[in-house]
Amino acid sequence: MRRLRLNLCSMHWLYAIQETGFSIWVRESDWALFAALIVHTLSMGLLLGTAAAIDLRMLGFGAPAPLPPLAIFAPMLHGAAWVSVVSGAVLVAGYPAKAALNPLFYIKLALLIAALVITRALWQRGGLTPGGPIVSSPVQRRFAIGSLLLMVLALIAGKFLAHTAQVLLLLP
Amino acid sequence: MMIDPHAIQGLARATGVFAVMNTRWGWPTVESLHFIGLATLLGTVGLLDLRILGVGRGVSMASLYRLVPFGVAAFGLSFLTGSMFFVTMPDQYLFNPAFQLKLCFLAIAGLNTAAFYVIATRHIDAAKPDDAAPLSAKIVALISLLCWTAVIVLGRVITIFRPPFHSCPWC
Repeated sequence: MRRLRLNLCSMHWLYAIQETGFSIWVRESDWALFAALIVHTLSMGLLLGTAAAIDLRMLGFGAPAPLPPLAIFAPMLHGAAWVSVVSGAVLVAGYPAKAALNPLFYIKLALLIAALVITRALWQRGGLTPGGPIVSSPVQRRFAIGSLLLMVLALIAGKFLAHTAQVLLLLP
Repeated sequence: MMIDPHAIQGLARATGVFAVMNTRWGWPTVESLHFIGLATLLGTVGLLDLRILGVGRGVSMASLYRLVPFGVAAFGLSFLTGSMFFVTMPDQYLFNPAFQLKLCFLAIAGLNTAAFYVIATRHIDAAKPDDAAPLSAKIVALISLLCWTAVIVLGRVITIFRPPFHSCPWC
């Protein structure tokens, strides 16, 4: 009973978001949804691809260059992460129920947050700072494997989202 | 020469690709692999392109160049998975202007890669971490970056121009 009440309460909020002017504009505009989709794809590709390349370097591929200069690419990674968040928020705003009522959406978010936390820890403590070590340590390599796996799983969860959605829009 | 979509789909049916792609998880699984390939390509080749263009001075170009084989393998994965989409629903791709443009950019990227090996690799091997790349290598890197970005964007746009809802203006 409590669960049903919670569900009805969340449906109410989702319906309210769905009926905002911004949400309607995202859905009905000729370009907004597709622009957000394209920007989200590019930024996620840049984020996952760059992080994967640095993880691969951490795992010993592309040696013998020192690790610290790779930190130069950190702002690009941060930028891609923020663009992904904003474009993802626009996509969710357009069809809030489609995302929020799909458990995979939360799994994707959790995986992505875990991947970013690990990547950040790897960069901060792992030596991608000026004066850091030249060769990656076993701990760094484990972090790199974790980051790589989580990123790939987040990407797979994201791709399966569109194919597993049960609800597109809520009725009044 | 007119390409017959039914003949292409017949190939997919004969090889079992059609059956795999039409299982519940077939299409999204292949889609995931396709994007993993593209993201890895962007992260490896794209990072080297950016370094050649002057971003990340201090990172050795030779070190990033050693990640390129991963980019090549990633391209192979994307090409294989992309072919699986194509042979399963050829009518959705053959007459799709976004797909045709994507193929054009892929061809340019391929020719540009050949130019990269002729023009840039010699310099990359000899360059120190703080060295700037010559203008010719920068042009090749810029074309590469633009082509791969266009390939990813057009891959997304393919879903917008699905026949028969949108007709290809030049088909």
